[in-house]
Amino acid sequence: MLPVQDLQQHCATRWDGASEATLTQSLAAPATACIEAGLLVDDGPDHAGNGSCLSLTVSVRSIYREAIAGAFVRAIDDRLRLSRELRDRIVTALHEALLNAVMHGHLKLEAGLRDTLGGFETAHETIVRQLASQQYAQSRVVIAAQWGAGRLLIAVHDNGVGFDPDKNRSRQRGCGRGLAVVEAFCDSVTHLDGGRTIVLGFEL
Amino acid sequence: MKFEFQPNDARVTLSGEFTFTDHVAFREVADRLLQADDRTIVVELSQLRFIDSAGLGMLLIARDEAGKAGRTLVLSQPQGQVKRMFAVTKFDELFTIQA
Repeated sequence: MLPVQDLQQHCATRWDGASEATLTQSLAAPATACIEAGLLVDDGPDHAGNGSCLSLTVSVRSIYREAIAGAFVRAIDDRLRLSRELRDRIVTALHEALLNAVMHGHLKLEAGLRDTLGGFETAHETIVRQLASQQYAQSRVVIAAQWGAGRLLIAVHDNGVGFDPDKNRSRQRGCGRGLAVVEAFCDSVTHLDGGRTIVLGFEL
Repeated sequence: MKFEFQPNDARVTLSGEFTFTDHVAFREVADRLLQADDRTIVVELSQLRFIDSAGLGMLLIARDEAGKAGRTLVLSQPQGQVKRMFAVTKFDELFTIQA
């Protein structure tokens, strides 16, 4: 993967969206900002410019298709050499944040569709059909990690409708359980921007 | 996620990652388990390396369906991240889990 921009220590790359393998290549050092091909980006993260950051702008279609959290955390692990325990916590929390962004921030699934075995196929077909529609062509999520002073922060921002974390936290199913997992696996969690941004904090 | 049934369909081994994209695969797993003759049906998890909250939700739905059919769904040998997810979500209070 060739860098498409080199400004001081900021290195932007493009992911072709083809596979987890090509994503791993696109996120490899010295990349600091990777954008999926075909996305029009005007709200990317600010960069510190000191190399202690990595961001990925990715479509919700790709989040449903590829193991994005695993690839992103592997790229951070290559730079920071995380412990196995911490790596597992980060992958799990980031995966849940992405799941939440796609399933509750973007897609409009009929309530209860995933609550019975009989609804599973319909739910899957509905998700695939919605993601293939033009409406979701520019639906995207920005994952932005920054680290330093013994701390790693990963912000997950989506351009969907947002949600109320306090209202959903008490639910035992759906995103209520996902939020409980995020809070259990992170050292700190902050919700911003009407539920469109969640910041996951980890002590290094 | 991949799965492999034992001959009588009352025990299945899940492997790989069980996530929100596995609804169709898990529907097949649950349907075959519920058609087995045994009263206890077992989901073997020792080879499953990752599960998310949606995967946990699917296991709960399968447990409920098994209960309606007079069966007991048992989870066997969760490891690593899967075991930790069970602890965080108190799955040991909701399922019989074989260590």
